[in-house]
Amino acid sequence: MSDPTPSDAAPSSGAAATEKRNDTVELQEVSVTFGGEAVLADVDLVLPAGRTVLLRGPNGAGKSTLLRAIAGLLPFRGDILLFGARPRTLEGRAAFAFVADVPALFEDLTVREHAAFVSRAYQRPDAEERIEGWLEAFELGDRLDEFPGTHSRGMRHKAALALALGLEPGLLLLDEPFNTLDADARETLSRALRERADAGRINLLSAHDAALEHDLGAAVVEVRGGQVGALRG
Amino acid sequence: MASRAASLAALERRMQRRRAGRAYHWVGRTFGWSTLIYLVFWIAVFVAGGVQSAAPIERPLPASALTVALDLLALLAIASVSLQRSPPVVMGRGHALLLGLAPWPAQRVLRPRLLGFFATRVVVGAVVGTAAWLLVIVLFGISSPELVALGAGLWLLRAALALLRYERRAAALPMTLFASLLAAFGAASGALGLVQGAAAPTLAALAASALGLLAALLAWGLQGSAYPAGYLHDAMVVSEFRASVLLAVMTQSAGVLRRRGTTTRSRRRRGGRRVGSARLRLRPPSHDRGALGGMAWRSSLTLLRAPSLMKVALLATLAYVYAALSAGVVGGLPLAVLGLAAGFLASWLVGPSVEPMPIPLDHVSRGVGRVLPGLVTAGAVFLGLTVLRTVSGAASGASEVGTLALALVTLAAVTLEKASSWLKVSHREWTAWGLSGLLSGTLLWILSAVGGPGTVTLGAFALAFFALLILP
Repeated sequence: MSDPTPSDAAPSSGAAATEKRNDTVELQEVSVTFGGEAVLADVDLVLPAGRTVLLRGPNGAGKSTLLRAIAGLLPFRGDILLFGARPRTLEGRAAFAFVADVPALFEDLTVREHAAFVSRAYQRPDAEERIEGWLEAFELGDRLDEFPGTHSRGMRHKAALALALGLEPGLLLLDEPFNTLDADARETLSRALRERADAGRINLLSAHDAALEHDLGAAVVEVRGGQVGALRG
Repeated sequence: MASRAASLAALERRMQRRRAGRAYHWVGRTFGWSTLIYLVFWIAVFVAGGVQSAAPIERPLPASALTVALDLLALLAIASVSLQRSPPVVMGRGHALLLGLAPWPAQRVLRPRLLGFFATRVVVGAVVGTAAWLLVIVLFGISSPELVALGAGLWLLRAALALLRYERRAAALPMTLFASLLAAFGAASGALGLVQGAAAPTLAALAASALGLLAALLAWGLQGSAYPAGYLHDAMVVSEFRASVLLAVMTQSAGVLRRRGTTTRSRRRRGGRRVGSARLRLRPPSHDRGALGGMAWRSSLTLLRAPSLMKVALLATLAYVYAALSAGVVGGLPLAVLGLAAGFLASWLVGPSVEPMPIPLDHVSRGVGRVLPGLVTAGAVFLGLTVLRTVSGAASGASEVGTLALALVTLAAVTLEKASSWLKVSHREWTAWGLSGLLSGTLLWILSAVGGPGTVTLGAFALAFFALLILP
């Protein structure tokens, strides 16, 4: 990760300007290369507060790579600022939650223990109750004392989504979250994303379903061949 | 009924013959029998040549180091049983169908596969024993051909215990405990050790072989008395077994089988819990304890939920480290071996990491939370051993040994935590804990070269705390 470079759009000074900067997620000239080949090239993007942004594009276009770079899970060049913090710092990590297309859960913890552990690790005591509420909403209320290893892919996805939603992070990164969900869960997630946007938080998700743009009232960013287009809508 | 049994017996024989024939042809096509015979012949020639040409080094190492090393090898071989999660015998479609259809004990259906399973382990153990025999000649100047029998016996014991454990037989636990304790105290107790190395190799080989044979016979006998319940849970050929269970239930309900249903039994054993639900729970700490409390809680849970046999192996290894240190082990090689034992301990005492979740954790909360519960456990065990040793009036300086043992384990645990965090590898990877163990043993050796026992303990704790609190 390189040192930050001043953004053209960045305000020069002033408390109001700083506050504005800290409400947004900014990507400046972000590039990701695998084995010398650019998977993402010079991405400049600003995600405004209170928006749901859909990353759209064909398979292999770089949507998941972009999400993983923002989460600090991939090395990149350029600069990423999550409400003013870099993703791999403690402040940066506390600012977002990421649900991958194959959800990462701890196989040694039950679903209920996930809620207890994550709320303590993030030092958000109120999150535990919220997570359990989301688990109930995703119809996992009677499976709380089971290990996720015995659950289906859809159930694991629901558990991971409940954890992320319960933490109420400023930025929610979701990689194709609707793919494995049943109809009720899709509706629950859509409602949750709309409520988050209304509360001024940012959702960034990849999806192929064209109807989501309307359902979520989302802005769209096209990703194609490692090139990321401008925010639209 | 008699004709039905006869036709089933004929079916079984036919399927066994076909399977053996297929296996014979597969080996022939894949490797070629002539190639295999050629290889076996030359391996035998090379082994014989190696034994004849093995020349000891100029200054042979002390025999105590050999005892420590062999004891640890035995201990690890036995302890690794707990890591075995798959069925030791892989069954084919034919076995599954026969088990599902035929009212016969598994022993009869699986006889060739079980015999092959045990025979392979004996051969592998003998090969390992042969390698150890050569190594012992070179390093210690002692020729101990008994090590071949010792290796075979140990591997047979390990395989039989794995089978017993897989089938959830109560006999596995006391046998493993017994064997582990024999191995663990081998270094210090003299005549009782499973492995006496150069001191009494014949006795050790006899003990290991007898114990291995006993465990194998027990496993074999249990196969004959009941349906192998363990196979129902984790069969490699899951789909076949689901079919066979269904068939078993159907035949039972039709009155063909006159025995208690394994499905009912297994459900009762689970106590009515859902599959995959947690049996052992631990109340989470207050939120005031912060991230460190959360990490420590998770590490404690992992320790609590470790397999029973692994807990036994951990206790035995802790006792082994204590016994070896109280026996006054000095020198680079024994300390390296002790370091490996400490590394193995650390791989189970250190809690899991938060990877791959990008959780915002500072290095102190992460590190202390991962190592603290395990070290408290180790400290309690060492304290108990110290009290036992003091009460028995065996020797003075019991508390110093306990503190030194705890310092070694602390160093290994902290090193492993840092290594697994930096290298992004699991702390259960043998490369990670092996390297951490060797590093800890080496550090202890350097410290012992610099000063006395007090300096070693203090230095080890200081290094561990520095790494834990300062290094990221």
